[in-house]
Amino acid sequence: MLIELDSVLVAFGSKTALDRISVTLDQKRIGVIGLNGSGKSTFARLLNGLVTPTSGMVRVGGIDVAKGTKAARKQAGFIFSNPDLQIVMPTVFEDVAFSLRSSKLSKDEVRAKVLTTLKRFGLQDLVDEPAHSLSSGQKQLLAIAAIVINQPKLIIADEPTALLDLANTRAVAELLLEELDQQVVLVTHDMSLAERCDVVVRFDNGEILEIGDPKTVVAKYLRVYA
Amino acid sequence: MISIYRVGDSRLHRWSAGPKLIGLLVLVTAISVVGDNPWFIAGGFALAFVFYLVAFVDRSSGYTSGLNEFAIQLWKLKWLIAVVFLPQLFFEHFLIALLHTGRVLDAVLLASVFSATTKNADLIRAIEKACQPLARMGVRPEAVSLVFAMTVNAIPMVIQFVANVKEAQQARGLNPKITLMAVPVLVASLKYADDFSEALLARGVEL
Repeated sequence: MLIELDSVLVAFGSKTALDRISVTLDQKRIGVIGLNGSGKSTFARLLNGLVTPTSGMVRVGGIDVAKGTKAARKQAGFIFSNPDLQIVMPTVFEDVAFSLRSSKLSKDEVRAKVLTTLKRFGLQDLVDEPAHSLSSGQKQLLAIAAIVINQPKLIIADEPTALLDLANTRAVAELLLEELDQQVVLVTHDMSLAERCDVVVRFDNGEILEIGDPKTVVAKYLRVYA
Repeated sequence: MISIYRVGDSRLHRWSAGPKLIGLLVLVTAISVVGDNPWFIAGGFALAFVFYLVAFVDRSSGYTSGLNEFAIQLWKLKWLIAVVFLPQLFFEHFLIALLHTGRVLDAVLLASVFSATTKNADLIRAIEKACQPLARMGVRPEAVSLVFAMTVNAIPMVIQFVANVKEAQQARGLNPKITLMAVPVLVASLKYADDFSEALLARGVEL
């Protein structure tokens, strides 16, 4: 799916978060790196309509996100770094089923679909568990399951492994970078994950400093800050 | 204090959420209205006790399991009882304070056994159904039920904030008190509400 940003400026009061950036991306795994406050999370939020550009245009899959926010959100799921924020319903089953609330599926169809999805993510034994009692890794898998069940074309993950241990980071990374069929935009501080993408975009001070081969972009970044 | 659903197959578990919710509302309202009658309050307490026995009946231990659950629940409520009961002693006669506290205790016990035997999804559907007639007045039943679900969901988060703030203050050598904890817990809750609303938008929810 084509992601297009045309001269996008995002300002919060007097602070410029993104400064007239233009970029076109269509790779399947897109890594986004940069220091805190460099603009990478604002970029990710633009793609889902969580942030509206002050000027310029954001198009995802041909949809102008500012004008067709609802349609844009339908085709682009968003995963936050803190999975607690994404849990809407009290139990694991209910939370995933919540994503299908506007579908026209029957109760039995919803149940079957949710159970299949939970099995795919290894959460089948936690169906009736309170979602907040899960481990951080399980919560993040639950958050991804709740997004994937709607079969979006794009998944935007904003530092999805930031709060996870090594084992859970590996599980979530495998899922996002290898197993999912969807296009993925992965905002991360974990350079080993960024290197596994098809392309890496490096943000710096509200601008795109570099786009290109992951290993090259990451190596340059590490030379400056590591 | 606030129970969450406990898997089970008791008679109470099998009752539909809608009638059960109406029953709870009627009982709690009755206890509030006729709250000065000690027999009524004792009856409410006895009813909650019986509900606990029935809800947690176990094949191996029979009614002992329900008895334990009831005792645990009462123990959890000790601070609530203290907070409701003690200040009243300054203004009311001992027996009146006892009656008022009993009224609150009955309501909480009945509500807790209700939530322990009712799946949230069933309850939400029941609320949505109950709100359908209000749709003509512009009320959106799905929004009402969603707000309810989110409220239930926010409780463990706020409990977690309290635990985190308490731990952080202990780590700094402070003795956690309500006065010291109120502001950080409030700030954390407001931040959570802000971030959560963004997450809801990302999941396509617009209330």
